[in-house]
Amino acid sequence: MTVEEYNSCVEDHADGLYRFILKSIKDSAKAEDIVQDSFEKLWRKVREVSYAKSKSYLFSTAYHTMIDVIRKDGRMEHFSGENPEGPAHEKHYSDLAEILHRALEMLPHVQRTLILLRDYEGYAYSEIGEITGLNESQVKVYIYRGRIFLKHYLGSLQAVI
Amino acid sequence: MNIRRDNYESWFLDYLDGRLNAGQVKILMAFLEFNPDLREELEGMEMFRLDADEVRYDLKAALLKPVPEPDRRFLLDHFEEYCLLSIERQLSEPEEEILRAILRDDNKKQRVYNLYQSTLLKADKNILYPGKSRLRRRFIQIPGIRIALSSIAAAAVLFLALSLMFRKSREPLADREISSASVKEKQTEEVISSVTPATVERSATAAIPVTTAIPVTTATPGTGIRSESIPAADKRDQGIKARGMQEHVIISGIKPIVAEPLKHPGETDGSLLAERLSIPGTDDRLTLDVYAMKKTAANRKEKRSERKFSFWNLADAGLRRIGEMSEEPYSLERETDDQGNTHRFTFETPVFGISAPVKSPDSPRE
Repeated sequence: MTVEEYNSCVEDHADGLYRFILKSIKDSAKAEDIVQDSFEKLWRKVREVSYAKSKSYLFSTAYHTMIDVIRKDGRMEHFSGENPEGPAHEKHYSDLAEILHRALEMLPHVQRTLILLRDYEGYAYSEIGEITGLNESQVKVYIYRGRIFLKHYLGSLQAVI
Repeated sequence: MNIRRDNYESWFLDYLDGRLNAGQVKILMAFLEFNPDLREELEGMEMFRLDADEVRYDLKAALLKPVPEPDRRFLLDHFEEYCLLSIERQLSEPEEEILRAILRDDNKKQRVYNLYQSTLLKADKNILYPGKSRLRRRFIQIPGIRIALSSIAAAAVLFLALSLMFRKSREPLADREISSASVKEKQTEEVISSVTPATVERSATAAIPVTTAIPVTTATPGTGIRSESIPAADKRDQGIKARGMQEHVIISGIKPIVAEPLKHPGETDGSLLAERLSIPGTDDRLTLDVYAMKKTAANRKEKRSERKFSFWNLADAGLRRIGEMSEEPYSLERETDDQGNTHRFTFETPVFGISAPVKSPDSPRE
């Protein structure tokens, strides 16, 4: 791609990429570094990556860098499917979005990442599979399990309220 | 991967299928220059191609199965799964119609569906990346300059390695004699007093001292060189230490025999001569000169294979590093025989590639 196309990638995808990484790892400094690193890698391969493929290249690169950061920090999560604090502690949250993101944090990072890619960026299952290295069936299963957990979490809140 | 006579078939197939890039095609053509028999084989393969015939299967319609209509009962039994499929936009239009009808008729199910709807995330557009201006670029590096610079660096590495190799091979003959004579000196100093002392006779006509024949003691494993021992009492005269001197070896009681010069294996110009005594009815003897020369040659050959600072190692390391820095393919590979001698090399760059046979430095000079 040309320099102009590269700069268009910056304008079009930098915010979305940052948002996705930030919601995944909840660390703005590291999210900024990952975004910068991803664009640096895209720039190094600017002649090989086409403009049409640039978005998936950026997200794929950022995803793998994020996984490395998570592993390095030792943030291995185990999905229990339950809120250890109980739904009663959520009474003071009136904003559904806030509650939803709180529930999102309780998901394993794979399920959280896939739901973010699906909902934030509108990727198809096959595209998510290419970014994350999973096959389409695995992507569907992880997303469905994540949604079922979120639905139960929200449902239990509503029952309390 | 380099093309060789044991893997050329896959290269030929890729070439015929049009899967080789321009650089690989050049390497293939260079390989065929040195292997004309394989060129004929490739040309023969090009002549035979099978094209698929247009064949249709006329009974396809009989194989088709009717698409089942969505079953309301089935949807009700798997309601939550269908809710998930609906919010994931995976249902067909008829299935969506049935689901909407179910939701209209049942408020409880509608609330469940709404919960699933709530799990859809919405991006917060207020979150923006703060360092966007740092990401923008003004121009792309000119690749030609990069290729030119990396090519110059590769040429410099090869020149350095070649100059190292040629400098060693063109060492003056006298220096080599001196170096082997130094080894001889060292050998003479390793005196073993395990043999019956022999008498030393000095030739009246020559300033060169003589010594008696030295019996052979043990065989050195692996080299086939027989070691010798010199009685302590018969240590060489200081005159022996002069370089390039020859010795007359005699057996006491037998007339001195001037032996025929023996050419050292690999040395055809007459330098580094040694004398061999031909004694009828007795075992052959090795003079110290012959022993020292054979030992030196064996050591030199053994160490050649272990040498770290060789042309190939230097060139390979340099080109590999250049390839990493420039992100372009540079490589120098060689094929060796069982003795470790190089018989073919392949040199690849972003612009061209070449594969050529190499004459072994140990092959007899003509």
